[in-house]
Amino acid sequence: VIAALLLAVAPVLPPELPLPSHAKVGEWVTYRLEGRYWRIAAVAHDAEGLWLELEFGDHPALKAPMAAFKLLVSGDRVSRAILALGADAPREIPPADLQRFFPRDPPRGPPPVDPSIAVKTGRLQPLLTSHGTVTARPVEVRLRTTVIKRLWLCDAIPLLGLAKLELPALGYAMEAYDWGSDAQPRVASRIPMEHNETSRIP
Amino acid sequence: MMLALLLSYFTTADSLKAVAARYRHEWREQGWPVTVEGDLVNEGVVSAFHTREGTVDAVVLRRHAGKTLVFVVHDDLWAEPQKEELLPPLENPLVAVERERHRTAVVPLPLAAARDARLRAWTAAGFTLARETRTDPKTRVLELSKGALVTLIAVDDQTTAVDELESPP
Repeated sequence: VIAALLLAVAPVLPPELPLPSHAKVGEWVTYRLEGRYWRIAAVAHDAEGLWLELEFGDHPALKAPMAAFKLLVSGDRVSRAILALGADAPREIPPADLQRFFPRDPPRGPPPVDPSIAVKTGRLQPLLTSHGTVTARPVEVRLRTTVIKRLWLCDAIPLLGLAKLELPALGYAMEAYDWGSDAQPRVASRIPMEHNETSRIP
Repeated sequence: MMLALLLSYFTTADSLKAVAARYRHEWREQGWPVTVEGDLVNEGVVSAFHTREGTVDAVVLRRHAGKTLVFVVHDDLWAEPQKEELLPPLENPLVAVERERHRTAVVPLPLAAARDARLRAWTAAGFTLARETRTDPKTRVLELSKGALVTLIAVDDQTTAVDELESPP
């Protein structure tokens, strides 16, 4: 079940955007995705890295997420992961199983160049969001003359710097709905973030 | 540990479907994930899940005597499951919420008949009646041996709410 859910939510994190392991504590952003919402927040920093929380639900306030993740990240490495699925009690993924859920790809050389695919970066321009108008730069991935993906990058939006993601051929759009810098830990509050044996889930 | 609680109950002339729709709309507007179960003609349950806290608010709906009975329930989903039956069995309740040594229920019986049925069940389980109090015409409190307590409240002429508590050993 956990693996299926991770696969289902993986598309919300564009592969072009790495885990924001250097974000400032308190930063958060909520995205709207096909009438649903997901939020990413940097909630704490400790010696091992940054604690990120990801929540998914069908209401922008996310008072009761349908799924929530709490991840301790350093670079592209996830060293702890706590999951809360539906109304089930939060559980921590055993450290020995983390690699299965968050595999680290081995270093690879540059991908083969496909001459039919091109990346075009546009000029900065106003983009209207639910939070107000921001200045964003469109980056389009094109297959010949067709735009298959368009990212709107915006430095003013915390964590991912992403204002909008579009897949025009599918009519799919994910856009920043709200953001701020006052995030507090709120996922799996019964599970301590301190790294010691007692913090492990039975 | 939080107990499952029957918070309140009431009857209404509104259809079961209308009551379900009202709770569904209100809870969804508040941001809670909501599920709706049942045929919404004779019975239904609308639940709002508080996933951070592991609790659920629900209304259990039953059509009874031409009216809609509405039971408002709160439950702790993360509480340890009950390991054994500790309370005397309750036959044919309209709704019953049970956790460990506490039960709240509504039965389709007049107050006097419900009182007699519950006293028989507790007596069969080895308890004896120590004292009975009528706090008002609609309420009876049965104090039983070993600290057990049964409270019966008339919802209407044909329906009685029952709250039963067996003291811990």
